[in-house]
Amino acid sequence: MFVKKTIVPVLASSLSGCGGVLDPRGPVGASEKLILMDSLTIMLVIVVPVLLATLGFAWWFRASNARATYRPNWAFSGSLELIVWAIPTLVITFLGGIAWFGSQALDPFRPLDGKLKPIEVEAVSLDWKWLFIYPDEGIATVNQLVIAAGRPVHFRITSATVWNAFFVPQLGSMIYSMAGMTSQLNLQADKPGTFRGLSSMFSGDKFSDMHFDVRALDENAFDQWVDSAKQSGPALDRAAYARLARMADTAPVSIYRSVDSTLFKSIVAGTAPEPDQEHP
Amino acid sequence: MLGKLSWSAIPFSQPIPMAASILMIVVILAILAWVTLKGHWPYLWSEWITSVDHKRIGVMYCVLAFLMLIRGFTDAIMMRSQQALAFHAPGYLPPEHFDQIFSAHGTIMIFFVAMTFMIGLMNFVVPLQLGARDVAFPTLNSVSLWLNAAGILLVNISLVIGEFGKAGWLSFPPLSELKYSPGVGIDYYLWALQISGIGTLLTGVNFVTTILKIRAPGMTLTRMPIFCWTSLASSLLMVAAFPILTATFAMLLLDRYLGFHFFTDTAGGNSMMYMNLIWAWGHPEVYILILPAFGVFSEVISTFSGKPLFGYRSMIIATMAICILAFMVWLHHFFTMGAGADVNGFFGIMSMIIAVPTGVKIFNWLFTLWGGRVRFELPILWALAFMVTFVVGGMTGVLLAVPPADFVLHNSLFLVAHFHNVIIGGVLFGAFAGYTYWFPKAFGFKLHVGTGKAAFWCWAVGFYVAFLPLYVLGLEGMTRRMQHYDVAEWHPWLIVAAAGAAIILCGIVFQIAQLVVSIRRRDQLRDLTGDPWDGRTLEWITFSPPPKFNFAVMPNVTGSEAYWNMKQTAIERGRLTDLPDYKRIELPRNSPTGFVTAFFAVLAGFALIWHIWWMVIVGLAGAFGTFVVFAWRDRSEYEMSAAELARIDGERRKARIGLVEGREEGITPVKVAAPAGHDPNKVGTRAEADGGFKGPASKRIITGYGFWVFLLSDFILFSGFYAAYAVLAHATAGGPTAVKLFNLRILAIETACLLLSSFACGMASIASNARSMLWTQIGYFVTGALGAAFLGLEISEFSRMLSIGAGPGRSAFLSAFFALVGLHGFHVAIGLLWLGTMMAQTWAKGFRADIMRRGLCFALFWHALDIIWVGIFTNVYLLGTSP
Repeated sequence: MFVKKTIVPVLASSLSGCGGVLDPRGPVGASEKLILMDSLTIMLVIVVPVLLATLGFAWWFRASNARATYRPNWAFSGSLELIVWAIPTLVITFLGGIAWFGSQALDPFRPLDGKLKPIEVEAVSLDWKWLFIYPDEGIATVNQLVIAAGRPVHFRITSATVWNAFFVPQLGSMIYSMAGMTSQLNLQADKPGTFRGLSSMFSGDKFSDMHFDVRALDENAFDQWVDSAKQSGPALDRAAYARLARMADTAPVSIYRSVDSTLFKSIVAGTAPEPDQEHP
Repeated sequence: MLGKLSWSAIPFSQPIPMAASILMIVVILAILAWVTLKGHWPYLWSEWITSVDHKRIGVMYCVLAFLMLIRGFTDAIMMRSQQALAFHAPGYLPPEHFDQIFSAHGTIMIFFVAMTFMIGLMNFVVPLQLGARDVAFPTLNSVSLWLNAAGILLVNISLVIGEFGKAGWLSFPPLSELKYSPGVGIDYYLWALQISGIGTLLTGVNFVTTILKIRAPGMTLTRMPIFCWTSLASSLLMVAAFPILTATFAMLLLDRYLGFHFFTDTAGGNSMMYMNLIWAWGHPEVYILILPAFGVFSEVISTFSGKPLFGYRSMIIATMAICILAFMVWLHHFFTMGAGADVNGFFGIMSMIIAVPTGVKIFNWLFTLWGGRVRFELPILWALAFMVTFVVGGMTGVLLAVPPADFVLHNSLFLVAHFHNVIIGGVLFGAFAGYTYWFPKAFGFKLHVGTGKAAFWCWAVGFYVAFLPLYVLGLEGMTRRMQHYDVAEWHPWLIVAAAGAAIILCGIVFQIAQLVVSIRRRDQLRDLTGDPWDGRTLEWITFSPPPKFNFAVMPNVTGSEAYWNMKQTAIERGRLTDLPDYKRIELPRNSPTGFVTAFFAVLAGFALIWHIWWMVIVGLAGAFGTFVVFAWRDRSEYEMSAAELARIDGERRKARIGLVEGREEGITPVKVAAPAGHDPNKVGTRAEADGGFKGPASKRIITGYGFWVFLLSDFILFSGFYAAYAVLAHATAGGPTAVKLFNLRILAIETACLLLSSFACGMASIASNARSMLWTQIGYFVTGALGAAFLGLEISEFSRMLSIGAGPGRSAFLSAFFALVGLHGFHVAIGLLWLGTMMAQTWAKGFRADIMRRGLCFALFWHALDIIWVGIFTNVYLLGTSP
């Protein structure tokens, strides 16, 4: 009763209601949830009987049970061995197929299907904040990612500091951001909403503050937001970037009305202004 | 004078570390004072610290592991309580402290609890199960133990002086590079693990040699107890994997100390290479931990079911399959690096394949229970809890091996829950099963059951309460290592997890209570038979605790489950085996070498961490001096007479008379199905060894074999550096390329010197076999002279390159080049030191057997350096300069 009345609802609500990976809001996250649940189900088919058998065998063959037959020399059976090797092999063959085709279909670098032109976002992890550059729109944001619902987003991700990982649990795949390299990621939000994003690779003292909100707006609202962004905030030239990078602290949500179009490339190449003081 | 060390290294201003440090110091001082006042020092020194007895060493490993479990668990409790409190709040641990705690927790739990405990059990049990008197290299074994203790000491010193690493238990660069971690924390981490890693490597060498070369007559490989098989697999993994760790850490140290560019984010360094290298060690490492635990469970389930292990050969195949597959899955630790769909898919499938032999093991344990007569003693409780828990942990592991699932679960608390599920549920429960199972063998009395069961239930329940919430949190998107958070849904689960940790704490308290109660009631718990569980393997045939020599005569093994067969035959015949023919034996003498070496290792390690260069020299010279003193000793063994053995063994036989008279409780008489050609009257005597294994090999064979195994590990060390070179060969960062730098003419002369020196070394070997002192010395001298010429030329080449600004700091390519070639040069330098010592010793002491054995090892070493050099010459120099 307790299980049914208390634990199940609590589990269900906390797993599906609050921004976890079991509550996906985009095609990538949904496919990943499907693969997760399918794999789990396939394994449970074998795991549950094994758990029951372990407890059952141990209990039935307890020394005090006179009804159990003692077979002190029974230590080998060729046909059982065959089954014993066959069962896990079959399960793994099945799961291996899922792993192979899943990793082809959901490779983070693979563009999403769809007719709409993706929104380009260049994401940079800094100490300890995220910078998002919209090269097509010529704007940039810090610690806030605004996208259009129903339209794919193509990320190019790098780091201006140590490794981090870009992750929006409800949209799907995470990927490392690494200095000197560009990772790519393709995500999409199906409907408007606000999702939590974070760095999921430990990166130093204020790592816990490296989260941001992802706001998915409908197409019109997104265009309006871009227009208003172009009117607000300072420009992100090299000097402004240097100030941001050198801060070595968390940062409030902010918007840059324009951005140096070569900035991302120079961050990857290591020619952008670097934090010149010690990592605190 | 004192490098970077100053009063500011001591955390006076931080109350928590300060209190912990003071508590630790007070406890240690109290123990030292107690030992001094009670006058226990002579006993401790002669019976434990200098002991080379594998059983004593095993016990000391387990004591260290228990102490470190408490330390590591304190860290765990702090993390759990911090996260329970830190919802919309800073909690009580600031980030710089929290980061050290999770880094120390992982490091300590893996290296100094899980591995130390498993190595302790291996030490205690393996020689006994093999029917051997000791391991292949007893003094080296003591060195391993004390180097491990040295690592532990350094990690704990960091609590008081300075700080520990803040970059996680694997210290990924670039975060762990000097630029981002300028403090001494990472240095503590690296040097502690380098020093203890050498100990682990030597343990691996020692046990591979022991298991393959020192077994009782008749014990063929397929008659070995399964724990010996899993220990062999684990030791092979240590030999093959630890050099990779040593190489990786050495590269990071070079980056941090000498400005190399292996993993930096500038000058062509490649931090992804660190990920690959560290996990090429790291995944085998988890099998180093879990395989011996599998062995423990196999023994325990079989013993307490009163049945042989089901599918013994299948188990061997599964164990060795895991051993090999362990090296093919490392990439699953970073699917999220973006290696591409095919690579991810391949490693996902490889990782799942490991689940097959593991699944086979689970089924075989199930069928071992089937048809058994299961006695629910403490060890099997742990084993059953393991089976249930490990299956769940294995399942979540396979889930993480599916790349798309890993894309959303990687680095989350789901991952944390998974590996705790397999490491606590697998390794730690295995350690506790082994601890309760073999404790009576080690001390002669059983552990108290009531407190033991309380501890068991607290651990089992506490584990689920502490870690199931972490699975939920991972699915909710909570990532690991967060010092604070503001997501309301996470908070209740973290409170539950903290409660789980508190339940586990009760388990640990009960374990301590169990030990205290058992010691106080040892007379009631005493076991006089040496076989309290109706055991099946050879360790149960001898006294509890076993005498130094383990067995008065080496048991004659006629089938698998050697002891069970003897016991059943004895019950059947109604009398013990015939009185054997006792012969005098030689036993290794105690040696302080291990302890003294470790002392100097701590000195050198501490000095390196704080940049106190004179002390580094003192430490290294001291360690070298200790080895020379050890090599110089004249008597390494003492004798025990046949009469003495007969007297001691007589007592054992007297104690076992109850067995055949049916008076021993808990012994199961079973009608044995006699194996073909089995003569019950011959069982247990040394009369003839059947089965093609003649017993332990000669000392010369053992030494040579062990050295080959060591050389294998050395080759792997070079492979690590070579792999780095291959990766970085084109990362010249605009600096000079190989074509411009290498001077092939000088290199040809270098190569000629080294090859000729090998020739001279061969002549010296021939001369020493012919006992010609003059020609031996001439041969060695020429070897040394040519080696020195090689080294001189190499140094002059290096300094030429440095002088034109082409040093290791210039580019990643040059870093890898200097490290690889320098490592070889370092080996030559070590060889020269060794050679000089050996020449002096041969001169002073003549052609003694032990010196001849060392000469053999030196020759192998020196020729191996040739082979490695030929590889370097062709792959680095010729290939590098070819157009």
